[in-house]
Amino acid sequence: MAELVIAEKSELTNIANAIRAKTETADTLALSEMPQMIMDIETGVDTSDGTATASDILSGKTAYVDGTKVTGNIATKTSSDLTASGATVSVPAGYYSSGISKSVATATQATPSISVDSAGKITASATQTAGYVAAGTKSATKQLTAQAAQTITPGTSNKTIASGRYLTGTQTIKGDANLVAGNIKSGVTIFNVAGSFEGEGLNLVVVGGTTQPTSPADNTIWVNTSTTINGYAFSKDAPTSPTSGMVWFETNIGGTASINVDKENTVMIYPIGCKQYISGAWVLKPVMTYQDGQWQDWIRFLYNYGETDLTFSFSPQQFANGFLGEDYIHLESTNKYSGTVNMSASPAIDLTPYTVAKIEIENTGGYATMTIYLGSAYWQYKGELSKTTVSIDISSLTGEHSLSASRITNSDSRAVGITKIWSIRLE
Amino acid sequence: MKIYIDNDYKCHVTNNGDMREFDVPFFDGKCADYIEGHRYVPQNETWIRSDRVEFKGGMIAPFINYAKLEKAQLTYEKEQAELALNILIGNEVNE
Repeated sequence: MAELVIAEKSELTNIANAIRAKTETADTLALSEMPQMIMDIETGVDTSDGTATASDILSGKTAYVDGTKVTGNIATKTSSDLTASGATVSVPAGYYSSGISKSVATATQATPSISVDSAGKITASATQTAGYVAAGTKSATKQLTAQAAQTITPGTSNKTIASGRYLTGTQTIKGDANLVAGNIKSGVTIFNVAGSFEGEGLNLVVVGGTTQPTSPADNTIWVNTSTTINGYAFSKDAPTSPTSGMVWFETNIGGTASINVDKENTVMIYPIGCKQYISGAWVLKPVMTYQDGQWQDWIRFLYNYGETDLTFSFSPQQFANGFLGEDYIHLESTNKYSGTVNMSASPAIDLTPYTVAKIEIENTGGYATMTIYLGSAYWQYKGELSKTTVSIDISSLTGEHSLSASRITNSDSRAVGITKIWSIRLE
Repeated sequence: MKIYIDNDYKCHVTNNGDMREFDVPFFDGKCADYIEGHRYVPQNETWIRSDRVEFKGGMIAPFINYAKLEKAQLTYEKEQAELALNILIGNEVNE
């Protein structure tokens, strides 16, 4: 007979509780079931929920996953397994037990060189050796030849700014508002401006008007006239086919005004008078030339063979007569014993520029007294006189003075007579 | 008026002994300064100026700036007029 073993109740309960704890049940357990249940209790670690695979486990190491022993295949690596190539450091897969490092090749930062080509392109170039370059700055400079600000005034020869220069200031090439066609002689081109100034063709300019020009150029001939000048001629004799307004500068070797009309050579003219063709007749006109910084009078005809720019008046007394003839001033005594005629001219004449008055005069018919007055100077003659030229010294007369004349027949004449004044001129 | 000319035809109101005497009505009433500022070239004589210009007589022409001569003559005429006025009204005349 088997032995009956008696266990206490509490001990059984404890066993049941232990089984329930292991099986995680709260069921009532039959004693008869307990042995099997105990047998069914899994012992050891529960690996059912394990998820590791071989690639999660170091090589040579094992683990149990869901009841299965797994051997790891993760290789253990060291820093010697790292490789560096250029900028790339390769880290093979595996386990590294601690921080690893790998040195890479270093290189010195290259210094660029600078060049400038003929087109002005600036190139900075540096040849860098392979390797790690530490942070930092390398610089290079190249000093270009500088050109500071300047002002260039064009002249007769070319002026240049050298090539290959860096301009540090404004380059000013001067211009001139006078560089226009009208200021340049025709046929001449200056800086691409073709001249159009025709000029007078000679080394002189003729101007009209009744106001003396201010700031005239040298060799300016001013004809004191209110009639527009339409051309001019220098000649001994009057132009044969003048147009209205034409000026005739009478020339003669005795002229006191001398003008070099050629700009390069010497071509002298000696004008002695000036007349303008007005309303079909030549009219005497006062004229001056600007030379060597001053105005110079030409010979001025107060009267010349019928031509004058003065107004003459006559005061004949009994047995006398006076008038402007076609070619001469006519002063006449109609009685052989008496007869006085006075003549005056207006306006008064400025004698300042002149030093001598010359009169072409003639007297016929006895012992008449002829007198020509210019201010306080006069010439007087008693008797017959063939046509001749007489002079009066007027060099000390300045300002305006009047021209007058007289013919007096006295009782000694015993002949009617005529005084003819052909010309009166001032030099 | 009687005037005297030297060998340069300049007029004088007194004769220093070498001058020639002429009666020239033109100078009637003129003062000494006025007269002695003129030249008188008698008819049929010729004076040659320093610039070689010839002046045949009879010619009278100033050789001193005429403005001065005119001023002298005006002064003279004024003095003469004052003198005449004083005489006219019986003022004492101091010579």
